[in-house]
Amino acid sequence: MAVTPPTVAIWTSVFDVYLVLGTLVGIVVISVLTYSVFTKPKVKAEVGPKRSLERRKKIRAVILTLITISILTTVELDTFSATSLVTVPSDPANSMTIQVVGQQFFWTFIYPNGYAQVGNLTIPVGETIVLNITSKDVFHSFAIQQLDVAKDAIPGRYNQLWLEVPTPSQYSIICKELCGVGHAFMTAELYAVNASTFNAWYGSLQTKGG
Amino acid sequence: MVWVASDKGRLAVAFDFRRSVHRWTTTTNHKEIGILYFITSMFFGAVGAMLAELMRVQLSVPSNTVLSASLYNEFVTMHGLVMILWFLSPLGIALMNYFVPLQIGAPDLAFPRLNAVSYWMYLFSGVLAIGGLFLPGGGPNGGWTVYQPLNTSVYSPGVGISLVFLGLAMLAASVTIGSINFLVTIAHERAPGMTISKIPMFTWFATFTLILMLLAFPPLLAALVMLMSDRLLGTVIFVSVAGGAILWTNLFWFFGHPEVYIVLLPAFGAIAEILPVFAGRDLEGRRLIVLATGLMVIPLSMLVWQHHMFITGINLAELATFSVTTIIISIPFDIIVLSFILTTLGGVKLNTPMLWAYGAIVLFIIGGISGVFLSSFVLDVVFRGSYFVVAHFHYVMVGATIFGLVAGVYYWLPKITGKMYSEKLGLLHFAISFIGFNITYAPMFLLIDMPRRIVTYSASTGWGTLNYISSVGAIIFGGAQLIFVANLLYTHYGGFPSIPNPWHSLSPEWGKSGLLRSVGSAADGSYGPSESEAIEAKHTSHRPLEVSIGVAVTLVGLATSPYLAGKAVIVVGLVFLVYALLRWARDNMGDKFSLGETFGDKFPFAGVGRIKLGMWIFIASDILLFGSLIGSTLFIRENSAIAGVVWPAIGNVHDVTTGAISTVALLASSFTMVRAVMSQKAGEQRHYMIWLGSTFALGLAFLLTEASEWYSLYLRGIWFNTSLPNGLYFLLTGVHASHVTAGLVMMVYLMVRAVRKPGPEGSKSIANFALYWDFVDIVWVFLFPLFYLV
Repeated sequence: MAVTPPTVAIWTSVFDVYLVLGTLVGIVVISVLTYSVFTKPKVKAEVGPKRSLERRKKIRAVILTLITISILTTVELDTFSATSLVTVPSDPANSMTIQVVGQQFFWTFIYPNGYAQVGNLTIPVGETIVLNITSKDVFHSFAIQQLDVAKDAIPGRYNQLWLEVPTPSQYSIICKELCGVGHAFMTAELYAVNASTFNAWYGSLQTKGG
Repeated sequence: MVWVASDKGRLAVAFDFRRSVHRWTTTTNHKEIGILYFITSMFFGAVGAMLAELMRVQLSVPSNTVLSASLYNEFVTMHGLVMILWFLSPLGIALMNYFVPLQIGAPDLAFPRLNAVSYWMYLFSGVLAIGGLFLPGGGPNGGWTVYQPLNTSVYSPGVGISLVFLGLAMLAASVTIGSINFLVTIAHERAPGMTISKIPMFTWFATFTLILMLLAFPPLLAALVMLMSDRLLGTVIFVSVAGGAILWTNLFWFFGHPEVYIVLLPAFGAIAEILPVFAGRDLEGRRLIVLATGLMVIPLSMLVWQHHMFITGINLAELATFSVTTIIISIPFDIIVLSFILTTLGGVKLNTPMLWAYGAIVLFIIGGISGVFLSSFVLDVVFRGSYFVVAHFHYVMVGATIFGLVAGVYYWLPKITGKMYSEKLGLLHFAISFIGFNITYAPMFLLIDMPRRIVTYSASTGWGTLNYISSVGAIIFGGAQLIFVANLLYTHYGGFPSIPNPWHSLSPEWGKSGLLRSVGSAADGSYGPSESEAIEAKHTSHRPLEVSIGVAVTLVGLATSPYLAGKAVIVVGLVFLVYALLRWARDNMGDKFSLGETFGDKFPFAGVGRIKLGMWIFIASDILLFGSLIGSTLFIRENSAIAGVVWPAIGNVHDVTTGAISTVALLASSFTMVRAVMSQKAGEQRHYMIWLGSTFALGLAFLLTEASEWYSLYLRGIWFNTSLPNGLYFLLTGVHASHVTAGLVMMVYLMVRAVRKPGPEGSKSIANFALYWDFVDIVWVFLFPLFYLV
């Protein structure tokens, strides 16, 4: 059983490529610059006629540009290989859609049966959860940083994201867009519980009539 | 200034002081205004830095309570606004003021008084913005991005907040005036022989900065006009859920992303001047850098704004498009950086300016690479709104920009002061700043999970250590800037006289090129103007300061207009503004401040007059203003169904006949205006007066029809605040009517001038004014169908 949530796996696989290439390019380029800046200037003995020198410079420029473009293309393709993180599967099997309403300064979660709960979101493990996010007042941003998912909560609009948690665990939900004086404290908890626990709890809600 | 113990000496000092105040408040000299910009921007920089230090103290340990949440939010907002708009950008403008005219051999800017207006408006806009913090309700606390609807009066009431936004609008006006002025100067006032291929690199980068300013600020101004209309007039553009929140993000980032380059490019210009001088060889890929910036950075910077909106719910096609444009825009920057590095190959002389330039490039490389991470809409899900972003843009905006501009200040200090700074202090300043900077911002790259703009965090998050390190770094980095101040003061008061061109630069501002006019290009090494005193006396004016005070007072009144006293202040401000403008007009009539009109003989503006070119550029920016307003109206209308708002049926609210009458009046006035221009060309004074008079009458008829319609709507109970469509109608036609009113005022001026000075000399401005009037008419051609016919 995969312990890493699928959203984290996708994000990390993309990030690793950027990190390796970015670090490599950074180290090489900064090293070259630092070396040449901290060497004593010497009059360059430019050998050969001026025309061939110009030509060599041109070739050098073309090669450097091509290297740049190929690195940028590589990382961009890397991003395009992972669009599944930001696109919500249309009506996936074994899924549940929960409505999320942001307002100053708390999150409300409304389950399919109409039950609304403030401040904590309980979900079953191993199931694709689609969150349908909106706001009642100002611009908020719903985020679970450790799960690598986020979408803005905008008044008048509904934004979707999906997530799946493989094992029972707990994550913090935060607001990522400054929304007023209580912004830093607009948090909630995500509890992923076993399907049986969830069903027992969810079933008991229905008897209460939401 | 020397203090002498005798009475006579004291008197001399007092006299000196008065003369000094007079000199600095009336100057229109580009060097002096450059120095004013420099000192003022350093002041605002210190204010922004203090706010940052206080925030770092608050964040240094978990669950800290030094700052309250509301105060922290105000600080985070004002820090961003002040640093970007009142410190970084004006610091670049300071160098542009001083050196662009010198580099191109212009005697001064094309419109010296407008340059002074730009400066005073900038100064007062900053005073208003900081003043807002001390008014009831405090300053804005919704972040420098001013997201909506949080910053409407529904969620953030308070006159202080209004005042800051009005200060921002005033700054936008200052920047627009300034960029028109500079662009005309660069296009038009270059010395003979200063062909396009010889333009120095700093002036090139200044040109690109100015073009971006001209394109970016009108949408911001339009957004602020709508926001202030919501706050003061009761419209509901951003309050309504009909797309207001998303509209703001689009408008703001359409401004906000180019603004990053507006801040950055002057620093690149300084670096491009410094590198070849200290490397002792030509700048590598000079032409390529110019082409890459002009043809790629400028157009693309207008096409990347939605990468700030990757998680707003835009669809996959938009995500992909804006990710690709963002990755493409890194190519010209790669070209620039690689050219910089290739220039240094083979070693450089390591003086202070070169060290700072080196620091700027290193930090830009780090900031730029982290920017590539952010171009990924997948990675951005997590980075957006996190400290990774904070680290990224501080590496670009503080690292690359401040280090680059400080390099420029050290490099040009001998030219400005005629004295040499202390090399030892300069090196120390660099070493501590560079280390302090990295200690401050490098840890933030690791705080990927920590959201921005939170007042505090709990210890259980584990963010404490990194935040503590960052806060220590902030104190080191901030403290190092005291060395900068010390070095500047040392240079001014105790520095050794510098030789005219200490770096042996070949760039024209050092006075080495035989190309340039002697005026303004000598390496005089003094703060003062290089023209003779007699010319200088004619080039001072009180009007720029007076006009700016008038505008500032009016805006203070507007912000406080919910109170009766505020309404009184508006009247006072307007009266003063009209007085100042009348005096300005009188100065013009009496040729008190005159510049010979020189026709640009420079490609590509051969034969276009200075004022005409300025008018064209102004119209370009005004097109963007109206374009943003009209586009916003369409966007809101498109989304109005969400809010359950029904747009009024044709003829229901706005009488089509009345609209048609005013349209005909305005279009006819364009025709009479053409006849006025033709009569002027033919030298027929009487016909000129008749046609100009008819244009005025038709314009007035338009305005009166408009006013009567407003009044009848008001009687029917329809006003700014009655509905979304009504509010937009009143706002847009109101902005247009203010343009018409300004046109009428200018026509009165032209008629008075023609009476006083019969003949072609007194009426020559008509062709330039006609451009404006036609533009105002054309705008109505868009507004009429928008509100009356569809």
